[in-house]
Amino acid sequence: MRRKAVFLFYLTFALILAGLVARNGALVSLAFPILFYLGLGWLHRPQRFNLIAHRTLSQDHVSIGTPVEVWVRVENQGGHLDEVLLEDVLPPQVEHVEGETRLITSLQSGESLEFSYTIRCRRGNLGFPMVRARAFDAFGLFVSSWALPTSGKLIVIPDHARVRAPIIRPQRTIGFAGPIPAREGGAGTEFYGLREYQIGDPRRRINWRVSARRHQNLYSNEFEQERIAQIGIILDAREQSNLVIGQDALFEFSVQAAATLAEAFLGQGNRVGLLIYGYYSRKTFPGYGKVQLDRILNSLAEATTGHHFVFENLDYLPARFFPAHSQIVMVSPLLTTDLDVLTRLRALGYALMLVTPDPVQFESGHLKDPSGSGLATRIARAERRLLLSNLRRSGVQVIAWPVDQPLQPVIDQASRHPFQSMRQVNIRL
Amino acid sequence: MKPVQVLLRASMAGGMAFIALSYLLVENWAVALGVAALGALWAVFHTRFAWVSYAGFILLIGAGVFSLTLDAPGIWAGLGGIAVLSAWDLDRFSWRLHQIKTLQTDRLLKRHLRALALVDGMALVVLVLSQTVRLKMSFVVLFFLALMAVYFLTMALRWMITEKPGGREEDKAQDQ
Repeated sequence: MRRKAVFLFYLTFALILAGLVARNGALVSLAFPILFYLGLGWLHRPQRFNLIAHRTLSQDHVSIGTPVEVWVRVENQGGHLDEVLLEDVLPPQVEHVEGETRLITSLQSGESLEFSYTIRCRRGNLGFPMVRARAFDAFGLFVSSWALPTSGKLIVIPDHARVRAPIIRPQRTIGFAGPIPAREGGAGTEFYGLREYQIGDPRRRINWRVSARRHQNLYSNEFEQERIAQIGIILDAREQSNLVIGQDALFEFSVQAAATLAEAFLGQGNRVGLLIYGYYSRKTFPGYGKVQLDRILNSLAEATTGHHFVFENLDYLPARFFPAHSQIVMVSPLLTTDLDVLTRLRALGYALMLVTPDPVQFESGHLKDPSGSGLATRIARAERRLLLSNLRRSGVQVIAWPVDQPLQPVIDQASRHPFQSMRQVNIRL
Repeated sequence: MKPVQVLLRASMAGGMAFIALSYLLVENWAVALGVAALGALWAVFHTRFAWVSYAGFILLIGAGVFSLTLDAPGIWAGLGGIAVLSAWDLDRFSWRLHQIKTLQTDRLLKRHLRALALVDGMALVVLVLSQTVRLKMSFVVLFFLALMAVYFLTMALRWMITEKPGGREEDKAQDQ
């Protein structure tokens, strides 16, 4: 029963009481239209309510911003409904573009109707659990509200640009041909060393210049083997390391970087796994190819930041998830307390690359008046440079990403001098 | 103009005219003009604010009640009450249709107008009867009737509030 009906009830009450007290029949008769109005509404109130809803989505796997058409079909398997308000409940990540998500209609028994609308979504694994239905009597006085369960799931994968994979040099590689120098002689393209000629070596591999200098010995060129590597991507989803300003979150850049790198490394044929470290530690076990890329993108679609006391620093990072001496790519805005853990990972023999969306640049980009906080910004930048240079000195390959720039040129820049950057110490205020 | 709008304007004009007439019959020109102004304000502002229809309804019904205390003939206040109720209902109905996209509009409209016509018809019959039939009651009978009316209305209100049709979700509807 709605407030409108209660209001009419009290009005009727008041008129009848006033009429009886004043002994005025005309006053009582004023209440009768309202009483009939209420009575007829009550007689026509929705009673046998049995609606079934089905939802169909034009796609179930899309990238951010792709329009998706949604069709909702509602079937009335109960009694006649004078007036019914149908409203499709949309998840908060969804932006409604076109069409209607709520409408009023009248549904006879056995009748069905279909409505459609178009949405655009932010990253996430979105569920469309129900259609809300509210049935009214003819006057809208009495209402029954129902949630009609429906199916419908939409995975919105993160944005990921196609980039050339950054150059990596893990100590251990996997025994299949690939693009990563394996620190072992064999078939390859890059010169690795010289060895004595062995029967079976092709003649064009003989290094005639060296052989001429040696007496009665031939020497062959040896090339460095190129193989694939096992790469573990760690996405830092800790709440305290990810800034949120208004609608923008730094975490979205981390997710984008993780997706981009996963695609680049898998495109080279590498074996890639993913670990999301935040409120919980979610693992996508290493694998190859497009199926693995889909698995990783699905995991990234669902990734959210969170806080858990166990995972508030990187001490409990499950490094054994990745084989010893393999490549780890950490995507994190980084906290100052993370330095020790990352240094320890290097000491354990992992090749470590850090891709770090710049939180200082992200925050200063959102300031309304950057000039007012100039000194604070400079201090924050200096602290961050110091932290990154300490990491470089520990042998971590650092790719600092100012998030107002695309990722590709930043990776290209880092790939030009991949290991020189480790030693670079450059603090300027 | 849509039929709802035509009927709404007609009901507003009728309600205002009948109640103003009841004041004119007791030669109270000032209140009659006030009622006319009230009706005009309702007609002008009802598309802008949802609460205007509630305010217009309450004030015009109140004006009708007040006219009865001035010994105005009850038939005009009664007719005014029926017209004002219809205007208020049609105002709310058209507001609802205007806010949300509507399918099967003709069917919705037809059923709504049929139900409203039924209410108005029954109310007119009772109004005519109230003008023709005169009952003389003692104070005790009247007091007993008042008590009964209060009791039954309270019970009906309580029952309507607590009644929920069976289903998958309890009634959580909020007023729009």
